[in-house]
Amino acid sequence: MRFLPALLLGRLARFFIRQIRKGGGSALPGLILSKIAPGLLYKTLGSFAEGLVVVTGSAGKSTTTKMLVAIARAHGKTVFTNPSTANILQGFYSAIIEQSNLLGQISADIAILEMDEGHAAALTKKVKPKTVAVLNVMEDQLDRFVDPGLVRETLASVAARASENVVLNADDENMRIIAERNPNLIGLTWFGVSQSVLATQRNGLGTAPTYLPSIVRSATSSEITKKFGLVHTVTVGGQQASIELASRGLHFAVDAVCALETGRKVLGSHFDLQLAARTISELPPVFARGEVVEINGEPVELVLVQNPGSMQLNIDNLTTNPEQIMVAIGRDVHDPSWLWTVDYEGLSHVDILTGYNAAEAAILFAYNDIPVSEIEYDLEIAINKFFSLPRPAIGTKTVLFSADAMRRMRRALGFWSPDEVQR
Amino acid sequence: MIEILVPFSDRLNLNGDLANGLILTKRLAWAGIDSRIIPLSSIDEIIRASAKCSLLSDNSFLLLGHGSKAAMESISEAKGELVDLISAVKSSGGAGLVVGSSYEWLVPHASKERLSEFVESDLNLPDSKGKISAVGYVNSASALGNMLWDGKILFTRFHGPILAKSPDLADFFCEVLTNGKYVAKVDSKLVDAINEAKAVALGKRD
Repeated sequence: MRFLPALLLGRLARFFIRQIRKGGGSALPGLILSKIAPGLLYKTLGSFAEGLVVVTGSAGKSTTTKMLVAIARAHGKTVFTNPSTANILQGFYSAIIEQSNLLGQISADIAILEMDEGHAAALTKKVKPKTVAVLNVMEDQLDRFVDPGLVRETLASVAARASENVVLNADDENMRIIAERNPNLIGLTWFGVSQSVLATQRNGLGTAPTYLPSIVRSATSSEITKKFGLVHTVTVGGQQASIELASRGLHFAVDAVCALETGRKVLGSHFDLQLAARTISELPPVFARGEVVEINGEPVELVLVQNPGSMQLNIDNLTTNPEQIMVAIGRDVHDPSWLWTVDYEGLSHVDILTGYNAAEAAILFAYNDIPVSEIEYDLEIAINKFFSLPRPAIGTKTVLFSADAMRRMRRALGFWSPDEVQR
Repeated sequence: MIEILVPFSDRLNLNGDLANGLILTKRLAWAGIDSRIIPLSSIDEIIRASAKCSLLSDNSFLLLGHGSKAAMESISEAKGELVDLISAVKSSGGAGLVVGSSYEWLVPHASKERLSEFVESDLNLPDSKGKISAVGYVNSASALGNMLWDGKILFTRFHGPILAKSPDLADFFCEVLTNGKYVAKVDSKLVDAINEAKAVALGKRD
């Protein structure tokens, strides 16, 4: 009962914000709740019979979490989870407002949450996770984390708090260092990509280099062994299956194999690989992760770029050389320096450049000889201009955007239904 | 031809520091002047570059970028040779930029304070060439300050592509490298974008 007033206040805040701004109203109520009832989160996360699963790392958290949640639900589990990118503390409180009763109770067997690296470290000090899956360490958010070595240490501390399972990426040298320096990790297994598949990726998987002698790659329990376009062959726990992903790009396959390995560990003897593979194959992409949506009656590919790794991987995977491209770099890119670390050879041109940091991107593209037809600083005007362009003769219109630009564009385009936001 | 020497370019580019070399080559090229970027990836190559500096008819530029802790540790054996290279570039009339962790590494700092913001600094140019402003991103502050000249080599705590939003500094380096023959020839759209990016960085836009 002691959380009742706080939850009521949070729900009221959400109600009023949604009256003012469609599709909004998730962040502020969570922030309010975190201030007036800070103990609620830890009590809630500690209440699930099958424990807490944390998915963390620099990139791929949203996609992996959505896949893992779908696998668990396909196996009959009820799951408490957070919406895509709401992966910091206030996002977890918002998810509680959304999914709990007024006593703060949530009817679910298990909690599966994507967590920002820093927030995972803070939260797992108070709630011990049963399972921790770590995707990678990239040179990401350096304005916040300063050095990738510090991110690795943070993730190692999260992994060390898992009580039953740790799942790590065998193709990231940082993960091998975590395992070597933390020999007591409980229930450690590995996922990865076969060397022949990895060799097809021009710039690798974009993980942060360690400049140390390479540690021998551990044997994987789950691995992508073949890739033909969107169709991938996976080996999981000695069994083989085929998955067809909704988005191209090897990084999505890495997310999938992480979800499969984590699902195998979490579900134990109940895990059915063919069911899990079918479930992943039927999933729509997480919003804007290489998703093709229909806007003004024509298909448009939406690609979220959040760090040098995801920018590089997504540009490398612009295989069709899109005829019409809009780039939107928003306010979330606090220090746009990282934009300059990417190889833009795969980007032939930009039709419209927009977003809060459009000017920085304009300088970058000028020095990299990438023609930009128009810079429009107002995002909504830019959206209208881009979607008014005649339909391309070949391929689809393509939008590359940062998270802030994505959220603003999502609202402007009317993608604010609960289903869209949840994805 | 003007050479832009970039030691350990594969390691000292954590915040896009290499872009400073790209910016110089492009601005020189737009002014009709050839230059090339020379990556130096071993101690031997650094020693050879030091020896060659005084023999070249054109001035050289040294770009020593910002690296992760792991990257800095991995090049620690080359510290003496890098100090020699800085001296060689300086004494041969060249210029340079030593960025972020390389600055801290070569000129040890104390009492650092954690920051995360864009900063604009007034900068007195060497040889009484006047005062300009530079805009860059800092992750920490120290008693040593954000800028320190050693001859025409600038040690700076501004990490990443400092020359992107500091065109006057880029043009000063171009003038040094060409012994004053450089005349900037930059597209007006790029000038507009630089001014806008500076305003955004310094919080002058909503």
